[in-house]
Amino acid sequence: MKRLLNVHEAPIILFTILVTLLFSILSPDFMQVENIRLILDQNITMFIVAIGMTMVILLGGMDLSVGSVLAVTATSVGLFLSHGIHPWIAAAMGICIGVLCGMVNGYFIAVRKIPDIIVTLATMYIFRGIAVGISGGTWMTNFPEGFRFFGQGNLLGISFPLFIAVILIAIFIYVMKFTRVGRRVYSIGGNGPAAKLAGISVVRTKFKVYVLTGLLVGIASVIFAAKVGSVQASTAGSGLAFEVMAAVLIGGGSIFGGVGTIAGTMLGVLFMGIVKNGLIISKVSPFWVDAATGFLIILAIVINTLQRIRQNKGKEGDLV
Amino acid sequence: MRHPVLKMEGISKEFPGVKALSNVSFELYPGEVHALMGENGAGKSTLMKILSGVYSPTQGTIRLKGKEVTFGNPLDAQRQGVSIIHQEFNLFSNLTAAENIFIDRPEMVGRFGRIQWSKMYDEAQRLVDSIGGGEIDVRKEVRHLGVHSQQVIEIAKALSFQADVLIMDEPSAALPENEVKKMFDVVNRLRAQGVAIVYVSHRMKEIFEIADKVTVLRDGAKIDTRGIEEVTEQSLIQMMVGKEVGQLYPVREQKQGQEAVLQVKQLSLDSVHHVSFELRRGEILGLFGVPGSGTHTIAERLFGLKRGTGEITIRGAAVKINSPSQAKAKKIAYVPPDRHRQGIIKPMSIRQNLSIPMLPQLSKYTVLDEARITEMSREYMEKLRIKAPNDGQSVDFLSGGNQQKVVIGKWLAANPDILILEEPTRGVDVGAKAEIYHIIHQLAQEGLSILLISSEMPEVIGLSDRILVLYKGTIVHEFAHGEADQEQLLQRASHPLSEGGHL
Amino acid sequence: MSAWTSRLPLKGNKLIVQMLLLFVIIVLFSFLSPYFLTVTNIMNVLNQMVEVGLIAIPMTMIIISGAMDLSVGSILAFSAVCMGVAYERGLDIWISVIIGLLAGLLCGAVNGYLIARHRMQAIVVTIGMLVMLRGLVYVINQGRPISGFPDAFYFMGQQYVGGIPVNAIFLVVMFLLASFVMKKTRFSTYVYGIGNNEEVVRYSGISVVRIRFILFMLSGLFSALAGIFLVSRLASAEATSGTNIELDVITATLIGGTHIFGGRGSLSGTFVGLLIIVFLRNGLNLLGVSVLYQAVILGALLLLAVGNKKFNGE
Repeated sequence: MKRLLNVHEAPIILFTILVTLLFSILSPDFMQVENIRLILDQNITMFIVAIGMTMVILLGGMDLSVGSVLAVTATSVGLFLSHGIHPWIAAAMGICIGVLCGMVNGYFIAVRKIPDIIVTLATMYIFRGIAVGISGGTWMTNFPEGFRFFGQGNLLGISFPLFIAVILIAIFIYVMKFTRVGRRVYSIGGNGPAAKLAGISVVRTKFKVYVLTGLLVGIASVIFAAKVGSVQASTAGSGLAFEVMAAVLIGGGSIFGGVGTIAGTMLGVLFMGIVKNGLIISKVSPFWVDAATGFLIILAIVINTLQRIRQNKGKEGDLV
Repeated sequence: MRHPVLKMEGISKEFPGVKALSNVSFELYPGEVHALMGENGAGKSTLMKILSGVYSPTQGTIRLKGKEVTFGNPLDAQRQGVSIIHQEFNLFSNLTAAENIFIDRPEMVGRFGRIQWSKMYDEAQRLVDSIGGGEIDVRKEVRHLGVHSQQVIEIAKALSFQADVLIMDEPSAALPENEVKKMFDVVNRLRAQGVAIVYVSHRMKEIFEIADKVTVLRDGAKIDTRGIEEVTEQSLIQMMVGKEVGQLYPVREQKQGQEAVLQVKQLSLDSVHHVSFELRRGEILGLFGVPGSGTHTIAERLFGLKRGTGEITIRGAAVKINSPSQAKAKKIAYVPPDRHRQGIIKPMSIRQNLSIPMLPQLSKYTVLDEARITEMSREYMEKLRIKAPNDGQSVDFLSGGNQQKVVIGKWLAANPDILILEEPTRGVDVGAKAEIYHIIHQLAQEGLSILLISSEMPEVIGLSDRILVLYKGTIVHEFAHGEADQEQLLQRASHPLSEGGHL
Repeated sequence: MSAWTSRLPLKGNKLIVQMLLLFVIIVLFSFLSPYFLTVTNIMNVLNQMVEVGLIAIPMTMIIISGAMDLSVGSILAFSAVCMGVAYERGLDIWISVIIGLLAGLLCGAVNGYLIARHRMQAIVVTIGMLVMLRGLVYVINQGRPISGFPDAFYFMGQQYVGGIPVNAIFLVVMFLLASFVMKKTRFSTYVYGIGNNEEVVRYSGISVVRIRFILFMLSGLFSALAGIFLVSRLASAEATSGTNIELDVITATLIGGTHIFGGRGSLSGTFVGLLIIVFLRNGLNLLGVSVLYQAVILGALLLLAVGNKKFNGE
């Protein structure tokens, strides 16, 4: 039992159980299989993007641009489709654009060493502007039947997006635990100078992480476009970055880097999804949902700070 | 005749405008502990940096096991068998001990790039066990380990590279006294395994306990290498300083029996337990203890940086000090130990640094009174002999000694009753040291009460009227003026029970 | 002492570079659009720059102190809507204005409390406030615009005195005042000191918590002021007001030579940065470039401004 409580994700598991209980009492519709499937399905984009954000935050960084990357990728996929390009090729090209955006971020942050907050704040506006530019300001709709599969299809009894998300989560949990790249991310976030002394290329690892994040956002945006069926460049994915960051922090990630797990983040996404869904099901004004998200972000940083204080206390004790 | 594992010949290192090392030769044999000594600025750290691959020498050669080598960077040196353990560990507190040892090492990567965790844990445990760290669980994250265990992890990391040469930079500085013994055990095991160790330390006592040979550097040149049995503390000091010590300290006239300015009763916080003492007017009270004994905590408490229980009385009136600003209002000043982090604001000017604690007094309706600031900063630059072209000079360009004088000056300007000095001469050259000692003496003569906390025993002995010795957060002994010598002081500070101390 | 920053290397060159950039922008657009250099247009620009300018004042101070405030746009909207709702409920317009200002101060206090008192990361806290307040704004006014304010109120944002917009005069006065504070008072020494080495300021017996708290309060207050000027200028309080304004503000501050890691910077620089941005935006508007494309250009400018400096870190 004690071992169980020591698991890194213990607080978030507890929180998730608590809100689940709360909403099942508040609304009988909450604990339905249909509703749970809905929660998972509605948050697929979040799940996938959050994998990338977890790696970025583990590095001690931050990426505000993911929502705009999503917009620019989804819009260009829509554009490719409207030119009659085969759905699979359009999706692949879209993912490439996501990777390209990640490379832009990675170049400025890792190679040019400009603070991540500034770079991604700038690219957040740049990518958004480009998205609106190429869309001509109109909605992207009327995707062909073949494309909808990415968002609404079924595979082996579960929905295709969920299938992709599960595979990606599994792959990246493995990558973070069992490959050198993953461990390098943890070491750089934990102690950058020491990582450098150990011969780890901070520049290359950072660059890779931002590119991988671009890749993940690319995949997420194809699913997003196919699921929603229409994309508006100016609003698609707005606020996504903030929500995903909140999920990472709530899931036990430290804003100072080095601490956090993908599993924890996934629980964080689930938690936020449950809260939103619960608020809507409990018939609270939809305007409250945004306010609640902001509140959760602040809650996450409060928890983060408390954890840091606790850890520092332990450290002082050790020195004596 | 054994062959040296490491041979440095004719090493010189020049930086723009400075010759840090000139023609230093150094030999190291397997299974020996070789102490490297010298004052700050003697070239020790430059030599270590060359040896560990941080710098490359301007001239000279390094031979490792007979083969001439060059180190491109610290990792390169490590791979070739020369590892260094810094005073501040280079560990990842968020990772397990095992991973710290084998971070990013290809030999831990199996097929398809998969990291072999069980192999890593096994090897790590084996390494740690081999140097007597059996009680360490290598699956634990480093942040949960104590300082000694962290040091063992650092050493294990070096050994995992098959280190022939291990450089230990002030290895006992971060350790509590009881763990120094354990560290010596580890060093002895390494010696038995044939590892050559360069042991850098200021602590005489340790050198005589652990070293086989000692090399002394002074002003960037090697003075001599001798067997430990050939030297005494006195002769070592002489080699390091190059002149008789003694004139460094001004002669203190005894001024006892004055009123108590500061009284501390039953102070407890963190690792400090029930400390009581009083500080008299015009007195220099030395507070000595090994790192971790609580001297630093007491200073932080008195300056309001930390809170705790107990009573603090100033001139008979009980006071509450819960923040530095409250301490300042009670006319307590604190010269902190780490001048770069706590003492000076680097890019800002001398006058700004000098005036910062006193700005409320040096401004009208928050608008700065430039004329008075100029007057004040001139006065203290002159009084403390701060060498700079003018008070607008950035403190970044000052020498360590002058920077330290700025830190002292900014508090003198605040006209305190009580001055807490912690490590007032850390990283300061000998000349400036003497000047600062003179200043401290002068201030006490003028009636200022001074609490002197220092890890340099000669300093505490040379300056203090009385010395309180702290051990594990309790005062265990008081030396009256002229009573203490280095040996007794260290004795009391490290084994208070062995000779029937006050406990 | 007077502006010790001026003695720092680069600073002199930087101001020249900034002025040059401003000059190039003005010359370029005056060629591209004949309307650009007319008095009407310039006054128009001055009229429109006030909101960004007002927020840039505390933002400069906050960035100098080594932090950042991303919640300014949401505070602006929150205060504007609070004021609007108060007026709708029948309160006097000036009392409503005070309520709006108090709302901004309150938001600043929350930021300050969490960041200064509890040492939480400024960026994350203010992002949280950004999202939360924007949500609250929609909750308060249900997403509809509030208008119908009395004429006396429009004086602040729409009137001209001697041919110059009232709000621009107010902004310049504020900048002069703040510039005086950041050069001649002890507050400035503390702010620069905190940006360079917070510990030393604390060890000098000065309450860093209080200074940081004041800074975020100021940020809240000035964002609220900007909100009120915006409502007065546009005659309507909307839930979307001030969205993305932080990009303009931060870009103006950083182009103006304030160092992203704190410790260096000046309000005069920020003022030049502000002019660069507003003239750029105005010129692009005249050329018919869409707002979102302007964001692309601003974003690029931001990267350029920060990327060009040599960082001593790493």
